[in-house]
Amino acid sequence: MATIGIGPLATGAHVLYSCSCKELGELERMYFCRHCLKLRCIDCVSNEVESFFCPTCLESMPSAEARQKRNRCSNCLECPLCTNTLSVIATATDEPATLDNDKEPEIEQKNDTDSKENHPDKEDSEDKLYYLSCGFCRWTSRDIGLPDQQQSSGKWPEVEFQNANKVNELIEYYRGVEQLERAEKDIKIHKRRRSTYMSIGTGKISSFQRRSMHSRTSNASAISLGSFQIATGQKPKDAGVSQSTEDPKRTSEDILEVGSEQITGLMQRLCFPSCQPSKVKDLMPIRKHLLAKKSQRCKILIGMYFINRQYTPRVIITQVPDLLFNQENKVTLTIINPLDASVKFILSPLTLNEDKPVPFPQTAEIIPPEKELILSAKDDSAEFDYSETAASTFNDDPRIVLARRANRLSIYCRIIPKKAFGHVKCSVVLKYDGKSIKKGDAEASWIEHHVHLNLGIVSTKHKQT
Amino acid sequence: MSLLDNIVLGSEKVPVVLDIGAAYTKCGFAGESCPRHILPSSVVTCVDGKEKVVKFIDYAGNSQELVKLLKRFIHNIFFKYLLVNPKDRRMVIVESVLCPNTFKNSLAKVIFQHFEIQSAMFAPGHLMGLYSLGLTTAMIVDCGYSEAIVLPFYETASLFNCCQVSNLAGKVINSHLEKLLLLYASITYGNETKPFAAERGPLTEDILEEIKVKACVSGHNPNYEDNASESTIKPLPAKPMKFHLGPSKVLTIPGEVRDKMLDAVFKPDCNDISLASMIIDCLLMCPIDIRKDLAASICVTGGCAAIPGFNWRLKEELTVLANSPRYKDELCVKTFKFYETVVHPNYTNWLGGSICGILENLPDRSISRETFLKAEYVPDWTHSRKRLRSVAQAIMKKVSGEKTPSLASVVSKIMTSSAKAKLPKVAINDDS
Amino acid sequence: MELPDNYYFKAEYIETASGNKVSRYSVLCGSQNIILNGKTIIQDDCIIRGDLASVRIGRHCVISQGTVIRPPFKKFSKGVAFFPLQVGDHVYVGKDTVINAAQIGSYVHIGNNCVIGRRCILKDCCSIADDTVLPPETVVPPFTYFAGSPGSLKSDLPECTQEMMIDMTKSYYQHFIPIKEEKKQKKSKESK
Repeated sequence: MATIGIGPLATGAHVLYSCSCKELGELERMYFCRHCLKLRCIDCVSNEVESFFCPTCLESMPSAEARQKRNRCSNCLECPLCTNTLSVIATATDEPATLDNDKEPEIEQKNDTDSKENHPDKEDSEDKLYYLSCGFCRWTSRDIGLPDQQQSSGKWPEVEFQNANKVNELIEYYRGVEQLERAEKDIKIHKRRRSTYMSIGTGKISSFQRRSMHSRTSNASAISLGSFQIATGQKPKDAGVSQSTEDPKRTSEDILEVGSEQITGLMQRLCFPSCQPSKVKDLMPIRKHLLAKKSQRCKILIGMYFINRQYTPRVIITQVPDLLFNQENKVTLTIINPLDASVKFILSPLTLNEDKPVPFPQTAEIIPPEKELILSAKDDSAEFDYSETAASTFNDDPRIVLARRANRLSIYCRIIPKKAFGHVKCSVVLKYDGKSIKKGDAEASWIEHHVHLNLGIVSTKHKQT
Repeated sequence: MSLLDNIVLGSEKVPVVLDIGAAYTKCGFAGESCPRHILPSSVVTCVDGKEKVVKFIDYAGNSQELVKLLKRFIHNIFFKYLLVNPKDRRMVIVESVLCPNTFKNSLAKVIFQHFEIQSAMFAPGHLMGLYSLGLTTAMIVDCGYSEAIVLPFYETASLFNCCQVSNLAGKVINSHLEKLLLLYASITYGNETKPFAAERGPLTEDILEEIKVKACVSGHNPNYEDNASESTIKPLPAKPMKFHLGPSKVLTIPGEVRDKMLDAVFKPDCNDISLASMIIDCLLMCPIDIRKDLAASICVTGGCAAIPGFNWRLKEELTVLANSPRYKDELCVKTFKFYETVVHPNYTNWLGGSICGILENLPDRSISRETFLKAEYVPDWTHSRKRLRSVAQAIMKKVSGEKTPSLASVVSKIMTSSAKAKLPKVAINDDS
Repeated sequence: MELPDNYYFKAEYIETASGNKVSRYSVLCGSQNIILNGKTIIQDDCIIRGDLASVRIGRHCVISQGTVIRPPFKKFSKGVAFFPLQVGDHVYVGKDTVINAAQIGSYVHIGNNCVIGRRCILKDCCSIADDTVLPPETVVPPFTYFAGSPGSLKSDLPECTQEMMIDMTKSYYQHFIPIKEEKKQKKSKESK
């Protein structure tokens, strides 16, 4: 997933958490499984399409209907030039009368049953005609000569794929071939398995001579079977495929003449995979593609939903002084408790396993406070309480704890950069008790997460010793 | 999909057909006449806070990185474009006949391990092109973005030893276009006009591609002037074309540049190979008695074939070349016939995959997840299924850790050494 | 990274009883039509056109420098009518952005230098990148990230967008600290 920092809150590059699969990611993009008590990244959860909705009208669509409509909304349309959503514009018919007279009969013919039925009470609505217009590039449905519609939700024509029938014929043809093959196999005319269509031969001439002999015999057998009308794949004519031509088409003159603005670009063409029109006038409004609402489940314990971020204490870097090379620097970290219960936690430096390369190369040593600390519970009412009386009740050591406000605790860590240049990177292990998460479990289970900190660039200032 | 839907609609899942090309990926459902979406074969990643588009071809060698990119890409295809659950679904993967093994295995790893699909059929693109035509004998010329491959089929058998490969495809046209623009094009700022070379703006691959798509034509017959051609068709000069590169910055492309663009594949500067000579060389390698049939059933697929008049130009070039002293006596073929693809040429291969995907013997032709997870290796398409099983068993028993060499690598070796060498016995046919 | 402290001259801002902080250098036209629900910050050079139609802005919003908020209009055959504009809670709007939307949900992040076209609807928990142009009547669904011109869906947002926006707008407010004139000069000297 592309990482999206939300404006000034883009903590992304600075604090990363380790997924159980050893990949790094922002806590915001991670999931926490309540049952395995582990962090999981997007690759470690199984996604599932749950429901469909249109991004413009936000109507949800049942999956059967979505499948039938090829995942497209039936109401919302996109501009074929810039893919912006089209708006329906109403026009009064008191436009130039000549124009009107031209248009009206044409439309009435089109949906005659509709308009005749509703004719008596249609007096008002008949005054209005609707067309589509793009608010961004100013394209309108009139540009391509689409007649205005009488209903605002008008039945706008869709691109028709002329060759669809040919393709269907092809499919039928191959189905026939397949049935024939299977029938042959069943009667065991051939003892060997034939796989005419998939075999990519050795290319020896003898091989395909033999092969065509095979097929000739099979052809004969096909006829003798009688019940199958379609011959095996020897005669392309039967497949309803166009014949080869000695005179392929030249570039037609109209393509040579027109300007670049009348020819469609590649992305515009690809919006219509079936026909890929090359001229702007052949473009049609595109039906809006639906979005899917996904659900995430743990891959290990199937059936368990994930809830993220609300379970893992969040570490943020609060204050970083100029980081001096090979010296102790005091960095302030803030840990935020998202849980409804107070939580004990302890930070410890990550001991490296020499055998395995760490995805986050360490360039500094970190000395976190050794003491076990307590984070108070998250309380929404704390927003209105500005007194810092809470601090005294915990008896915090001022050498370790800088400040405590509601569920936030700011502590000092000592950092010793080990490289004279580049980013200062170090990792800590955040260990906290998960009693409140896994209720009913009498034993206090400790949960461990690896947290990776990037504290910025080493100061270029020289050591003052 | 809820339980109710499964009851109402039946639990049958339509196989997904995927054709990952060098430039564009075609994705859709089996049995449909066109892909649902055609999207760039690339992934947008975030590097140091900046968005960067990463193409798969740049990562063909680095399998670890490729797996990561493919995970994201396939995730998008399933959840953003096709909107179906990948789990326990069958897939048809249409791939280039010379698809690198690293890519194929990385893709297999992603779809089987990560997305847990039920089975996948790896289908060679050229064969799928043949399928989409309903033919059994044809010369398939796949001219896409990064490579052009000529592969003849005779009575459904591929003549792989006659296969011709070159890079004469979309990418070469783009770089040729850039050279032509520097020589001939002009740029206008308001009232001021300068040659393009002096005012060279950043021309990215995307802009070149866009210019190619809009401007590339073949109305003018380059052989007309040489008088070498028997063709007496008068040239149709293309009009100059204007492009807006930015506010009040207009690029003018002369008509001749629009025509000359295709010279990149028909008259390359540096060597003797052109798309036409590839086809003729291929014919020369085929047995003499089938050349006529093949020459009468040439079909160009891939994005380049969508250039208006591409087949026409190819035919002109072929006719000239066939009558040239170099080939005249040897070739014994005078006429060339072309098949128009049933659908837009850039997804003919996909269409073949779509047809394969609804046939009932799809499971027989596919590799199941279990098989892959045991073997952790997708065999080349030249191996029979028996071969696959034996490879899988061999690997499982650890009798031999050695993997069979990829056909593609062997083929390319032969190509370079001797063009007429026979195919080694890597390719084992079912019948033999 | 925790947001750095952001100092302002106490004299330059008006603080209301409900905690709104409005710059004296901003222009609030038709202020009787403008409702700020509390703890909302409106910075220098903002223009809010309450004279056209009512503008209602929720709690804990941040409207950065140079932003223009103007209720949308619609043309009718008999003239033009303006519609009220609603902005939810915990909304951050970047600098130099123009907003003509009909509705902006809660927990929305809008970048710098954007144009939100007429009668756009921004649902809850969405994000608009810097320099985005949303054409008129665009609908931005929840948990999506829009960018480009015309703005289009680029990716989705994490499920915790709501918490992230609450955190961000609240801490913005907490770090928006008033000082007296001399103190700020001192601060700026220190930083030099």
